[in-house]
Amino acid sequence: MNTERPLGAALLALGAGGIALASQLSVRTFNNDPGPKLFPIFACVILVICGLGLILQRPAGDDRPLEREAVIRGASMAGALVFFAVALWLVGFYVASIVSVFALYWIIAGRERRVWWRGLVYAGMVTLGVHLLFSTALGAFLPHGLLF
Amino acid sequence: MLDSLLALFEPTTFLVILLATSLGIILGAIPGLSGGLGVALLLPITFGMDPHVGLAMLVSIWVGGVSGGMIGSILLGIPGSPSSIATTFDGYPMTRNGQAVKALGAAIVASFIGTAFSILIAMFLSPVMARLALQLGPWEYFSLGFCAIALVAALARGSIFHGMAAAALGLLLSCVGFAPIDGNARFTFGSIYLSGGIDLVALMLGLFALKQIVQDHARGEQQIPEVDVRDIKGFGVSLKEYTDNAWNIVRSFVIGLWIGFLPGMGAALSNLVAYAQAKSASKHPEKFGKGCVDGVFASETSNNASVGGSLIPMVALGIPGDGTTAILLGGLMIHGIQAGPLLFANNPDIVYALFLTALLASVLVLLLQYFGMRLFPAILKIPYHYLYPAIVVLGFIGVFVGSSTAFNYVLLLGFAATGLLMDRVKLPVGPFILAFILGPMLELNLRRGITYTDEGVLPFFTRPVSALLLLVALLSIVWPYLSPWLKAQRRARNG
Repeated sequence: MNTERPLGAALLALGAGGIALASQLSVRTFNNDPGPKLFPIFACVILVICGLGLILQRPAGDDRPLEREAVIRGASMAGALVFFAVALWLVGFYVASIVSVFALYWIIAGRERRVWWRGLVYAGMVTLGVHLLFSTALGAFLPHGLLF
Repeated sequence: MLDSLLALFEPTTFLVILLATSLGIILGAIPGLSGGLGVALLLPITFGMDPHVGLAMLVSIWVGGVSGGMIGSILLGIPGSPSSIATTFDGYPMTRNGQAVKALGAAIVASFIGTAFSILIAMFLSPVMARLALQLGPWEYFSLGFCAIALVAALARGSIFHGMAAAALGLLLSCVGFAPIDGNARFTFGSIYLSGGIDLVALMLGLFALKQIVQDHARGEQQIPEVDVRDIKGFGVSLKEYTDNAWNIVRSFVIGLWIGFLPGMGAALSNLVAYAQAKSASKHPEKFGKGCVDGVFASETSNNASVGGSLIPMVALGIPGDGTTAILLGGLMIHGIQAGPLLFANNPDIVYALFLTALLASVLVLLLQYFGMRLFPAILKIPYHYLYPAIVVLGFIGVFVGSSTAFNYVLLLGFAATGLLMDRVKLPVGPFILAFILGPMLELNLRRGITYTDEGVLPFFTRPVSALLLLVALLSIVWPYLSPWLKAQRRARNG
């Protein structure tokens, strides 16, 4: 499937939507100042022109279709990243880091290479290393969770 | 000047500079951190120090950080800081092609050339060049920024529509948050987290680090690249490659120095512009993006040349060239030193100490990285199932540390998804990031330019420098379409 025309349509819609949204901004300005609308509209006009250009120009050829297995692998990794973000938010750095580093290790290593105790030791080492770098050496705050 | 130079070689001062330079390289190399962050974090430590030593420490971290950014770019494809984004374009493909040490060698030499010569120029020409910068008004700044975006967009992969669309998306994204001048909240949808704008670190780490991890895992790419340690002599770059790139290095140096000394610009812009120029002037532009050493030379010479460039307005006018020099300026003020035209007259020792420290730090960076360049690629021997989880944790903590808000996790994930989508629809990342970084500066100068006169947008087209820059921007946009037409015309005329 070719992506240029759908992309052109999406850019056109985004540009038009952006112009509509920016036009609603109303602020009293002085000294010929065009106000906060001008620049977003300027960017959206470029988007509209590019969208039209992509729709009207001859497509460059079909893109390689996505493989089902690649999509599943990508989704599993994306899911692990979302899980880490939610865990950081809910339970804070230390628990989230140990659990998520282990989970990421487990996913990436695959069946042939994963060894549970190695993953666990590695998760502990990464968590300790980040604690030493950010908290101890740089004096920065590490995320605290909502729950504890 | 001799006194300032000798003072740097006092054991304590030299040790501070050596440690600070090493720390800068490490911070620059870690995704999410940077030399600038190091300067900010260590600024309070300098309160109790002698001004010369404190300043030497801050400058050394900064110089080390700018150069260290290339390590992550080349070895992992993750820029340590915005100043080394363009280094990823060819540095990382070189690593994938088994030329990691060669890429590092080229980057180290280029970094040294950029930093050392720009400092020397800054040392002797600061007052003259600073006066030149003052001649430029908002019209020229806007046109220069727009011209840079157009140049980068025109040379990105895909059609000019893809490049300009990516740039326009970056500009639109930069509008999120409070508008300049009036402080009106735009596109925040009532969220307080968006009122300060989009976090650049989250954008960069999402687009480069997390996107790449998801993509590599999806493709099943777990092959550890070969490393060319055994075949490398010296810096790993042949004399012919240096001579072939002589003009490329000079051009990138001038771009970096020029952009660095314009207040508000900096290494984040210069590396992308120099890369685009190197590609456009190259005899083999098709090799760019696939592991061409010319791209590494261009990016690393220009971003380091911006170090000396951004010191010029800071020292001579008291105007910071970029974010890090703004913190350095704060450091000077804390120690009771007022940067500006009188600094040369009142505190010449401080001025020379500043420049000489930067020069010494650049030499130390060269030596430290020369010995390290055979060790850094050891990171590539780490299997991905160990390397990637650590990068993920560093990425998430990196975006949290700067802002202390969990909302940045959402941004990080959102930009990883954006990066994957952009890759799928062939929207180039370079113009997107460049436009995002330059957006606030462009808008401020566009509005100032219109406000300063009663002629509206006319001065943008009537002031010579501004008009010339806009013409270059227009030509670079239409050239991909104009060039085949001109060639066809010429062919028709010749029969």
